[in-house]
Amino acid sequence: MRSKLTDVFDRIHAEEELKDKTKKYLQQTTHQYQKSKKRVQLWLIPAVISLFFIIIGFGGYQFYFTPTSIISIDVNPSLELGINRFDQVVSVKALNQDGQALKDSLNIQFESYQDAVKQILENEDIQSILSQNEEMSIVVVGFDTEKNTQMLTELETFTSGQNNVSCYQANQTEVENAHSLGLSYGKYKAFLVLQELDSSITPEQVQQMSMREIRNLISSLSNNTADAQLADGQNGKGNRHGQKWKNAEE
Amino acid sequence: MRSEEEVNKAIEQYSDTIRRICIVHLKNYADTEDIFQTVFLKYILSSVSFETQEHEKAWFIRVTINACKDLLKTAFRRYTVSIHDIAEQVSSLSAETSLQQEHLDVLQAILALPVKYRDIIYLYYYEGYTVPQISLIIKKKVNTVYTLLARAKSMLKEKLGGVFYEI
Repeated sequence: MRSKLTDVFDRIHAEEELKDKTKKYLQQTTHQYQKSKKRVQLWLIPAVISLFFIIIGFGGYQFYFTPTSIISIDVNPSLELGINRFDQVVSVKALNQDGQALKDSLNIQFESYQDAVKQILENEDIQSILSQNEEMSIVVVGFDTEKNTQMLTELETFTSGQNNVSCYQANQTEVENAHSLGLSYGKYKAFLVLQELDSSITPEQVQQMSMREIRNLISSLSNNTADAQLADGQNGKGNRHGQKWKNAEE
Repeated sequence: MRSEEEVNKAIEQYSDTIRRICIVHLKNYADTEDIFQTVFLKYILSSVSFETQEHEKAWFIRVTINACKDLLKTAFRRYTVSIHDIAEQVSSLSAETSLQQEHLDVLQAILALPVKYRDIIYLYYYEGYTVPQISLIIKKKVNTVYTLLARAKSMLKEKLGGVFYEI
């Protein structure tokens, strides 16, 4: 039966007309084999739009929330304000416990940096600290030197009425070095001077000291060194740095 | 979606098989056209990647059998094929394929079987699939296929008598 059945079915072939009709139908149904591609493109449209908004959203977020400058404020509370390209505070970072307490008492997020510094200066605790003859250091850090200078000028003008407040400008690398030691930039500069005068001083010690205490320590160590050098009839290296720090503050 | 070139190649390669399965299941040419369109459209839209040509052929056989069953399931097509219909179909095939009478008797006997036996006879005797392979194609248990094959053979023996043993 197998051979007879094979004979029967071997003689059955699909008619050319049937094949042609099928091909024609398939071409029409698939719009010359393009329909699925179009469908895929249609599916892609919402995906592309969503992706576009995600990118725009993410890009916008990055554009707005990435600090272009940092204002480092040190008394003993140490704070760092991240300032975006629109001169608004987008991040507030406390670098010690006092800084955290100060941060919690402020509401400076998304304020302009001028308003933020004003609010800090007007803070009761800060006023109380400054009235005790403590020193406040404000350092502007960023890649854009022109903008930094402009910010520094504004801050200097803004704080000109305040006693014991000094403003500086610094570059990003120095700030990164400061952060790697767990110090704010103002204290880091002081730490560098201190370390040259007394190499046993550690960043942890400096972190817990107020700017006034640091300055007093620098003065005292500078004087000791100067005395020793005078006794030796030489000019000491530490003295020069102590003087440099003093000069910088002036 | 598969390319036109790929589809045309498949049409040339598998049309005869699909046509034969249609003859086993359907009684008119218009239905065959429907099946061709359905099967190849499914092929175009299918994302199945075939490991071998045998795999692809088995896919076409399964899809064609299912398409035929679906077509026959539709309410207005739910009918049983009468002896008259089979005779008419076979005579039209006879004219087209110049089959001898004994061949026609075999075909007529197969077409007179209930549908579930026809597939198995076709796949077993003509395509040369083994029972386990048939069970995979028609998605039935191996033992069920053995039973169906045994019943189909028995029915054919009854109808064809001595011809059945001339294998």
